[in-house]
Order: sequence, then structure tokens, then C-alpha cells
Amino acid sequence: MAEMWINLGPQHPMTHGLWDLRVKVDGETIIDAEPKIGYLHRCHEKIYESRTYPQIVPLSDRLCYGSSMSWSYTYVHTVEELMRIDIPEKAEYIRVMMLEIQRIASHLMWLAAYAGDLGIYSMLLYPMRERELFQDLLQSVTGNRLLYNYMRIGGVRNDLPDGFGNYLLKVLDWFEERMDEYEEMLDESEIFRMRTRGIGILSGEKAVNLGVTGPTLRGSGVCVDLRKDDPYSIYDELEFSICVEDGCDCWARYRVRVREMRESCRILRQVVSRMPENGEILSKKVPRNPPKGEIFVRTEDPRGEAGMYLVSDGTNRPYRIKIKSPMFVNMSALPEMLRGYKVADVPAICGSIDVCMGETDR
Amino acid sequence: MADLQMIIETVKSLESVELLETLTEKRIRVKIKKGMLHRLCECLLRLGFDHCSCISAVDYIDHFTLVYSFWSTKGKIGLDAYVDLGREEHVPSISGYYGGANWHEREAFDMMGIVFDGHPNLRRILLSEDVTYFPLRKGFRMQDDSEGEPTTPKEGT
Repeated sequence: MAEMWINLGPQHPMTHGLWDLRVKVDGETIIDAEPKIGYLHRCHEKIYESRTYPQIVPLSDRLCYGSSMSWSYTYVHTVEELMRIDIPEKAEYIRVMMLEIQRIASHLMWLAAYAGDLGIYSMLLYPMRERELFQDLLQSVTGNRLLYNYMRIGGVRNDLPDGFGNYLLKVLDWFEERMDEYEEMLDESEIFRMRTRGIGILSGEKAVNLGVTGPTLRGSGVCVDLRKDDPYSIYDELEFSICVEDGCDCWARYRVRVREMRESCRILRQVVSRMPENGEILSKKVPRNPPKGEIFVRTEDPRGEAGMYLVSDGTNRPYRIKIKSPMFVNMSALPEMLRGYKVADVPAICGSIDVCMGETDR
Repeated sequence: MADLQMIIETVKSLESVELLETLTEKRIRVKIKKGMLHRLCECLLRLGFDHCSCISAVDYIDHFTLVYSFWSTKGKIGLDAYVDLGREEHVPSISGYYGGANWHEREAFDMMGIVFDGHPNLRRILLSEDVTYFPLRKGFRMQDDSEGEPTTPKEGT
């Protein structure tokens, strides 16, 4: 049959932001693919060069609406590393709490969208319902649902509201029961299994070489998690395990994310029980400008390895910030996963890497 | 798995590689000449640095600097390699060694106009094909919103 290129996008049913996937097909079989990105490019890196350091915090939230807390944390953490300042203990605990709530909320949104893409519409509904609980938690702390502007260089903006720990524990109890239900609904769904098992194979060796990170990499059987490998904040004091599946397919990526949500619950329970009663939440020794120098710092975002490379010339504005987005690189590995499968598998494969265009295009 | 001391010794033994500093136990910085880039990649792959995290390009007005950040997923050690480039100089592509470098190099070309020799597909990635400027160069100015005029790109000095 004649080979031809098809444009799937920029507007398409499985759109998570605007992007265009060009696939070369022979009949129904994909022989090549090329993602085209850039539709959401908002010049983040250029704008940062003309803003003062505190002004960048709310901007970095806007890199990805699904994980804005992680992105603003990545930014403030980078600046703090360059300033070499110590963060008050309580602030670190609050941060980790927020990051893990954000991770669960982000994975839930992925789960809902992914199951919806694959035609299991009841699972579009339930994870979204539970995600709302976590959004409420974040809203009760920060006053906002999606873009929080909560991290500060040297700590966090405000303390937790009264009774937040108990509220969180109640949500976790409820949520863990619901998780069992999700697993029953999806793991035993014939449709879901057929559409994800053995689809979108990416071997571990290739995944590492292609720079893939996060749940996508762990789904390929590579045990990498920056929270353990290159610990930041208080992660080295907490007990949790790295979730690895060696199926290398979409199913393995789904299992990794579901298990990660359980690990996040485990981390949250530890953080609640160890949270210091009193203490500062914002360091008083934050210099106005970072010293001259440069640094590359990475954190484990819900989607993979998020990094920022910061060059400071000693003034109140950064000389250059390069944002390393995990999605940008994972997206570049898509052709490798798509080759050899059918056009109907495209939503299953593209969905399984948790596409977020905001941070891909920056 | 190679430990930090052995990595430092091996990397130093390559010609024209200069050890800048050991940041922590987990991250070292080296400065190399662009001609040595492929030799360095071969050496790093042997030492277990299998992951290329990021390639950042910085415009220092009189020259560009490329920063390659590598990470060893098994040894848990990072290495930043600095390469200085003249304004018009090209640099060899490392996407043959690290597949993940492919799009980072395209982005550096798109935003800074740095040409990577031997790259399989060196085209613009975030901006559209017909754009003629390189926006992350320092000479490229955005009109500030506070001036009350619409932001239009201008090629400056």
C-alpha cells in the first residue's frame, strides 16, 4: 500500500494542549512519526531574564498547570542552591507535603484523561472527583486551585491552616479506599488491558539513551528516582520505595503511576506525623541577590526529571535560565514507541507518557 | 561501578580537558575544547554516564558557552562539561552518542543559532520555520510592556 504522512493535530480528540503529531503510515501501520511542538511557546526563558528573582516565582508556576507546585519548587530550589542558604525545617516539611499532594493530583488528572482517551468513561469521572479533594487541600493552603504562587526563595508564603494535618489524613483514608476501586475497575477491564498491554514498547536501554525520565523510564524497568538518587529537601529522611515495572509498555507506565500514588500517600502520612509544631516558615537570611555563579539543579517532577540551569551575574535579575523539561525529552522519544503499531494505538501510546504541552513548549 | 576518584582521573587523562571543580560528592565540572567532545562522550559512556540531562546554551556577548549535563544512572554521579564557542563557530553534534541530546541541540540552534555539525535533523523546533532571528541571544530585545506599546521582536546590536 502507498505510504503517506497524516497530521494528527494540532487539534485532535486526545489533545492535552496543542501539538501536532505527524505519522507516516503504510495502511494502518505506523512506520515513522514526528512530533511538532511549539504551539504554546510563551518565551519563558527570555521573560525570566528581564524579571527580578522573586517575580519569577509566579511565572514558573505557569510552566505546567498540572504540576505548578513542582515547577515553582524547582525554581526556588535552584536559586537557594546557588545562594547556599539553609531552609527552616518546618518549611521543608510543608514543601514536601505540597509536592506530594501535587504529585497525586497530577497523576489523578493523568489517570482520568488516559482512561477517558481509551474509552473507559467511568474512569474519566472518578479520578477527577478525587483530584478535587487534593485541589481543595492545596486551595485551603494557598488560596488558589491551579496556580499557587506559594513557594518563596527561603521558604513558603504562609503557614498551614489549623487542623490541616487531620484534614489531609482523612482525605488519604478516603482516597486509599478509592484506589482499590480504581485498580479493580482498570486492572480487570478487558478493554483497558487489550489497549495497553504490549503496546508502545520502549526498552530500558533505549529509554536511558533517549533521555527519557520519570514514570515512563521506571515503566521500562530502570530504577531511577531523583528523590532517592540525588536527594533534595527532606526526602532522604523519609521512607518510600521506587516503583519500577519491567513491562516496558503502556500498561507498565500505568502501573508505575498508580503505585506512585500509594507511595506518595505513605510519604504524606510520615510528613504529617513528623511536622514540627512551631518554627519559622521563611528563612530570614535570604540575600537580596544570589552571588555570581552558575548551577544546574534537578528535581523529580510528576512527569520526570525537571531541571533548571541558572547563570547569575550578581545583579537582581538572572543572566540566563534554561529550563529542562521532562516532557520535552520524553516527547522526542515518541517516534521510537510508535513505530510498528497501528494508528488506533496512538492515543494509548501518546497518553501513556503524560503529555503536558505547557512545559514542553515553555 | 566507577567511583568519583576514578572518574576524575580518567577524565583528566584525556588531552585538553580541564577539571574546574568538584561541586559536591555527586557532581563535577570540566571544561573541554569542542574538538574533544566526541572523545569525551565515548569516555563517559564507558564510565557509565548513560544519561544526557540537558544541554544549555548561554550567550556571553563575545562568545557562547554550551553546558552539557550528564548523569550516571547507576553510579549516581553528575558531570557538567563546559564548551566555549566563538560567535560564528560550529560544534560537533553528540546526538549519535546520546539520543536525548537531539532535541536539546535543535533547541539551542533555534534559540541561539548555534550550528551542530552532523546533527540528523537540525531544524527549528519551537519557533516556526520562517523565523529569521534567534531570540535568546542577548542582542535580541523585547520591548518592555511598561512602555505601553505592543511587544514586537527587534534584532538589536
